[in-house]
Amino acid sequence: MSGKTASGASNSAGQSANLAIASMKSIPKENQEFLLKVLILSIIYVLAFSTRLFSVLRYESVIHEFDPYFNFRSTKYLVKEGFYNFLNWFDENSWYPLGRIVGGTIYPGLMATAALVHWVLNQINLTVDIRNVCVLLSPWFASNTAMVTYKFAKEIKDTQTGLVAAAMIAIVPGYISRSVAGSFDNEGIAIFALIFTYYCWIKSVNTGSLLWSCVCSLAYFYMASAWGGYVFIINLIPLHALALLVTGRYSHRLYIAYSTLFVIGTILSMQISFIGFQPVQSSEHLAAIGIFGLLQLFAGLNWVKSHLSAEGFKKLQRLTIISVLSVAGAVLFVGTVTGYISPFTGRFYSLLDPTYARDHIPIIASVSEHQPTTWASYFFDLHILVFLFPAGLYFCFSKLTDSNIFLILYGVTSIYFSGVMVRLMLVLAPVACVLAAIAVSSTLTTYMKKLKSPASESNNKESGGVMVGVLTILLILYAFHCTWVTSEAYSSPSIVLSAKQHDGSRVIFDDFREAYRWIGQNTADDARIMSWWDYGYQLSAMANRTVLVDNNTWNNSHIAQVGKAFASTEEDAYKIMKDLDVDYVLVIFGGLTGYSSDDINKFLWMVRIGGSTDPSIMEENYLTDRQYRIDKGASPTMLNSLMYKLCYYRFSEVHTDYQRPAGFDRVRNVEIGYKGFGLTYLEEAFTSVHWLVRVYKVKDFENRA
Amino acid sequence: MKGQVLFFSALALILLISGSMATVASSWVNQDVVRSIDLTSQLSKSTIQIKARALKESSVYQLAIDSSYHSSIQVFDEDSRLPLLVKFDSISHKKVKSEGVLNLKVIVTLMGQMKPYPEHITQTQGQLVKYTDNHYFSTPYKTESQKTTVKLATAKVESASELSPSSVKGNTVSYGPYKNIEAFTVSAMSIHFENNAPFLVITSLIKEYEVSHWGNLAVETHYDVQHKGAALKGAFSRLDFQRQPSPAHIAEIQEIVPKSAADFYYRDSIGNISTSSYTHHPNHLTLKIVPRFPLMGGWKNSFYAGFNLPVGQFLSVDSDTGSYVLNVTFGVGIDNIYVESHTVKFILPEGATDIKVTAPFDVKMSQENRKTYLDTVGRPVLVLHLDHTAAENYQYIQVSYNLSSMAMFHEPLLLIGAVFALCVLIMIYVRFELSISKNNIVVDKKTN
Repeated sequence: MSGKTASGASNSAGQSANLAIASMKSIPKENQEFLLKVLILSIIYVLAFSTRLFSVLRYESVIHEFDPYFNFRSTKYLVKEGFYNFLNWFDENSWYPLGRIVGGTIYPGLMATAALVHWVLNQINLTVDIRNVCVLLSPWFASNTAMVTYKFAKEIKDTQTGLVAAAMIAIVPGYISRSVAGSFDNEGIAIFALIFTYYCWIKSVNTGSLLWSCVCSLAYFYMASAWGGYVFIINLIPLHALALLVTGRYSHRLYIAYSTLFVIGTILSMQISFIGFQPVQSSEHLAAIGIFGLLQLFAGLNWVKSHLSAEGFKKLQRLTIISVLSVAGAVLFVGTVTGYISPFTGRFYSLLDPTYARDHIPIIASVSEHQPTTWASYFFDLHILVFLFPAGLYFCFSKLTDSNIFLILYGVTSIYFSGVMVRLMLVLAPVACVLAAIAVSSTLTTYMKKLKSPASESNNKESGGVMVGVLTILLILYAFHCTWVTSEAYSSPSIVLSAKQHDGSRVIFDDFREAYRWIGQNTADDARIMSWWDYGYQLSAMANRTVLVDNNTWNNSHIAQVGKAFASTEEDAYKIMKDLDVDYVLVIFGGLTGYSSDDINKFLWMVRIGGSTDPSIMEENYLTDRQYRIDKGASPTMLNSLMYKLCYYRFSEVHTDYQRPAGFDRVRNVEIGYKGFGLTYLEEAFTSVHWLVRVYKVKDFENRA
Repeated sequence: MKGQVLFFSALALILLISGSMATVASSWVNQDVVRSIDLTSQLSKSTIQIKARALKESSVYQLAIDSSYHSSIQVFDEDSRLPLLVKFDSISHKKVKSEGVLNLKVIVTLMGQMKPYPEHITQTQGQLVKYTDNHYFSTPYKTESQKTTVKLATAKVESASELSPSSVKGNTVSYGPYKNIEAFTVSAMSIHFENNAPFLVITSLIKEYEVSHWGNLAVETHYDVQHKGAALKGAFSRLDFQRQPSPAHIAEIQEIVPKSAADFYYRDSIGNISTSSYTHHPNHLTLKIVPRFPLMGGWKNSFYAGFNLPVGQFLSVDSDTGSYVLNVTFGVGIDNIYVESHTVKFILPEGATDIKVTAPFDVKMSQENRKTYLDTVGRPVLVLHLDHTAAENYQYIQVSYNLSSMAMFHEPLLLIGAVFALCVLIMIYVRFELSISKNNIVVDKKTN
C-alpha cells in the first residue's frame, strides 16, 4: 500500500457519493440522506481500519514495541488458562526474585476483549490465531471509535458535523500513533471507551434518561477496566457538572445523569482488582465525590426552598454550607493525616506539575513517552486541527449549550494534559477532531448557502467559492499529511528494523528476535536474564525466560539494583549479579550499525536511577567536564563500567568504516577510549549478526577445592 | 571397554521374525559379502552385496541388526534390480531352490551411530567422532568370505580398531577378507576420525498436508532441529565466527520441494524469518532455510515453513473404486537428515470417509478431527507416525478416501447461507418496533 491508496479512498468517498446522488433522484430525500450517511460511514469504517495496516503489509503481522508484548503474553495466558486463573496469575518469570501479581496490577479490559473476540471467532469455527486477533484489535477499535465519534458529534451538533468528525478521527495521526496494527496496547481500546462514555454522558445530560446514564456507567466501567486514563473521565464529568451548576444550568436531567453515573460507575469500577478501593480513598477521585455531595445538597436545598420563606432559607443555606464545608474539610484532613486517603501518585503529580518528575522521580522522567510535547509534534500529530481547534471553540462559545460546555472543558483540559506528556496527545486528538469538525461544518454550511444564493447578491458567490475552495484544499492536505505521517512515522514495529542501502534496496535488521530466539532455545528453562528494564517485556514474551526488571516499573529500588550493576566495575557487578542469581546479561549495542537508542545512550539514566538508591553511584563520575563521552577523554569510571565493557568487548578489533581506526563507534562517531580488555567474570554467550544484541553468561564461582 | 560389553549384549537381542532360529540358521550360507560403509555424513550408509546359497528351498532371507541401532533398510534383488519388501528385517523374495543362489544388494542406514568424541569442543575446533560397528557382517547365517571398506569424511583418523588383515589408507579403512565366520559373530569395530559434516537432527518433525478440492494442497512442516554433534564449549564469539566460520556449524538447511510449489513462508513462534530463498532446478525447487542464528554444537531451534501445491498433480481418482488417491512424499527432502520423531498429518476435506493408506514401510496410524474455517462437523485428520527415519524415507505414500461430489459445495453454500441470514436479520430488525409506547421520549435540549 502506498501513500496514495488511503487518501484515494477518502476522495472516492466523494465521487461515489456524487454517483449515488445522480442515481437516486427518484428516492425520497430522507432515504437518500440515510443511504448517503450509511455509505460515508462504511467508507470511513474501512478507511480507519486499512490506513493502520501499513506495518502489516510492509513487515508482517507482528506485535510492536514493548508494552504490547506484555499484553500479548497475558492475553495468551488468559486464552490458555481461563479468566479466573488469569485474575489470580502470579508471574514468577518477571521481577525475579520478587515476582509480580499480574492479575492485581493490570487493567484487564484489553486482554479480556481480545480473548473474547478470539473465543467468538473460534466458536463459529473461524480458527484465527490469537496473535492476529491482538494485532488487528486496535485498528478495528479505531473504526469503532470513528463510529462513536460520529454519534458524539451528532449529539453535540448535527449529522454533518458527525460525519466530518468521524472522517477526521479515522485518520488523525495523534490517534493512529497508538492504534496501528500490532500496537496492542490499552490506549487502542481505551479511546473508544472514552468517546463512548462521553457520548453516553452527553446523551444522558441532554435527555435525563436513566437508561442512558446506566449505559454511560457501563461504558465508564469498560474504560476503567482498560486504561488508567479513566481518571480523566471521573474528573472531567464532575468538572462539567460543576460548570453547569455555576453557570446556572442545573437541571433534573443533570442530577439524574450525574448521580446515576457516579453511584453505578464507582461501584462497577471498584470491581477491577487493580482499582479496588481507590475511588473512595485516593485524592484523584475526590472531586467526583465532592460534586456528588454538592449536587445532592443543591437538589435538597432547592426542594427545601420551595417550602420555606426567603429569610429562613437564607439562614438555612448559610448554616448548611458552613457545616458541610467544615465536615468535609475535617474528613479530608483526618483522612490525609491517617493515610486513609492516599496522596497523589507520582505520575499524577507530574501531570499537575510538569517539573515534579524531572526533579524527584528519574524513573518516570526517563520514559520517552512521558516527555513534554514539543510544538512541532502538535502540528505533526494534528495538522490543520491545530488551527481549526480554536475556531471550533469559537463556534461552541457562540452558542452555548450543555454539551458545548462539555466540549469546551474537554478541549481545554486535554490541551493542557497533552502539553505535559507527549502520550496524552492521544486524549487531545478526538476532541480536536470534534471541535475541528464543528468549525468545518459550520463554515461550510454558511458558505455553501452563499454559493447557492442567486448571482445578483454582491460578492456572495465569490466569498463562498473562496471559502469552500480553501477548506477543501486544507482537508485534502490533511488527508495526505495523515497518510504520510502514518506511513513514515508510526508504522514501524521497532522490533524489526529496516534501513535503506545506497542502492535503494532494503536491509532488515532482525537482531532482536534472533537473540531472543537464541535465549529461548538455548538457555536453561529457568535461566535468569538481566537487562535494562526496556527489554523486560520482550524478553519474557519472546524468549520465555525469567527477567529481573521489566517495563512495569513498579519497584524502583529493584531497577536501581540493575542500574547499579551496569554502572559498577565488572568485579562489583559480579557480586550484585550473583546476589540476584543472574545467569545471563543482555545489552543492546548500536555502535556497529548506528542504531542510536542503544544501552550506551540510555546509560546515564541507569546511573541516575542506580544513584537514586545508592549515593556512591554519582553521575559526575561518569562525565568529563559535564560531558558524556566514551572516547579517550572519558572518565575512568565510565570506561571500567560493566555497561561499557559488555558493549565494547572485542569491538576494538572491528573496522566499522574505511578511513577510520578500528573500534570506531558509529552512533557516537568516536573511536572508543578503552581497547583490548578482557572479561574475567563473564563470557560472551551470543552476539547477534549485526551486534545489536549481545548476551553474556555470568560465570560460576571458582572451585575452591 | 564398556562399549564393547554393551555391544555384545545388545546383539543377543536380534530381531528375527518368521520361522524359528533353527530353520533360519540352516537355510542359507553367505558365499560372499562385500560391505562398503560410507561415513561422510552424520549417517552411516552401508551398501552390502550379498551372494547367498540356499541350503534348502526358501523364500525368506534374514538380516541381523543390533537392536540398539536406529536403522532404515532397503533391499534390492541384484538380478532383477527390483526393490524387495522388507518386514522387520526379513526379506521376502522369489522362491530359491536348494543350492540356488540369491544376489542381494542391501542398503542399511544407521542413524546416530557416530558419537562426537570429545563431546565438547570450542568454536574453532574440528569435530571428532567415534563410529562403532561390527567388524564382521552381522548375520544369522554362516559367512564363507567377507570384506568391508569404510569411507571416512576426512583422512584425519585418530584411531581405528584393528582385526588382521586390516589397513588405513587416506580416508579409507579396510577390513578383511575374512573366511568362514560363524553366524552371529561379533568383533567390535571402532573408528575415531574427524567429521565436520552437519550433525543436524530433527528431533520432531510434523508435516501437514491439507487437501482442498478447490484446487490447493497446502503443505506445512514444523521442524524442531538440534545440532547433535560435539557441543560448544566456552564462549561463542561473533567476531571469530565472522572472520572464520567454525568447521562444524550449521548455517542453512536445503530442502527439495516439488517444482510446482508456490507461496512460501518461513516463520517461528515469534514471527517471520526473512532469511530464506528458493532456487529453481529442472525437476524440483530447492528451498534454502537459514535459521535465525547459526547452529553451533548442541544448539537447538524450531520453526515452520510451508507452501502451496496445485492439488491436481497429486490427487487422482481411482477408476476402479471411484475413490480419491493422494500421492505425496512421507519424508522431507533434506540430504542426510535424521528425524527422531516423524509425524505426517493429512487434513482431508470435510466428509471424507473410508480413509486408507498404502506405504512402503510400516507406520503407526491414528485419526483426529479438526475444525477450521467454514467447517461444521470438522475435517478428518489422518496421523501417521514413525520414529527414527532418515532421508531414505523420502518416499511416496498413497492416501485414498471417498468423498461425495456434493461435499465440495458445502463451503460456498454455507457462505451464501450466512449472508442471506444476515440480510433476513436486518430486514426483521428494521421492521421491528422495539419501544413499548409509540410516542418517543421528548428530547429537551436547553437551547439548540
